Amino acid sequence: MGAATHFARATPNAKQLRKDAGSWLKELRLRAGLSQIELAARLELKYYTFISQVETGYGRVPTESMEAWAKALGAKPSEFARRLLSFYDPDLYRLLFGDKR
Amino acid sequence: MTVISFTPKFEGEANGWTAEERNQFETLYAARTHRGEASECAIEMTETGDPQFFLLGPAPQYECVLSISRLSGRYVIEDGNGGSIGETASLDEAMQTASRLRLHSRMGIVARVIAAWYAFREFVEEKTEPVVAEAVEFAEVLTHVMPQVAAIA
Repeated sequence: MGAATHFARATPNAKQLRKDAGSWLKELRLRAGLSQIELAARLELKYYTFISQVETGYGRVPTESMEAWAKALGAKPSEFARRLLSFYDPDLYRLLFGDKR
Repeated sequence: MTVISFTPKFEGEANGWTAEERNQFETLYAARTHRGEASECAIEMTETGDPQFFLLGPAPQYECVLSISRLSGRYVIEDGNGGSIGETASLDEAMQTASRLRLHSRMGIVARVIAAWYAFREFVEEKTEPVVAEAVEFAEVLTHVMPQVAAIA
């Protein structure tokens, strides 16, 4: 089945790319002068532990909260989402934007 | 950072977890791996030194499907999206909650939605195909008959 094949396939280094995304997010947070707890408070998260989960690369920023993350980190939402897409779904990113990051 | 694949032995860095907690995680990990719901696990620390345990879903994504953190002596259980599953001071209770939880990776959910959509579309096509075919047939008959009807009229 086409759809199943598509979703079963993933970039071989998906894990590494998520870690790279996490490092980038951590860099943005530190540049914004926020602790993980402060960022979680801005995002109105019940626990700050999810910030750590994302920054260590085990989790990802949910699409529905990308705008809130961008604003909390002082980034432009469209550029923020575009950069995250390059980490989380590089194939789709390449189709949409070419190889430019 | 400690990442363990398939045979978790939390012998090196404990990252703030006690031996008892690590043993419980190993049991949880073994059960989840046996059910094909996990393929790796990892222990970490937040920047303020709170310990975290991550259960990672199947390859190739290896995305977090469950996390357990200890904050001020309380266990916080979250799903892969940071959704709160539970909070308790009891390790046993935390493990029970984590064991009961149905794990779905994000990609798994997306794949299920896509599969459901395709199944629905196929069902609709199957049902509407005979009706459409009949309509086409009727239109063909009309195009043949209409000139004659027009001539008679």
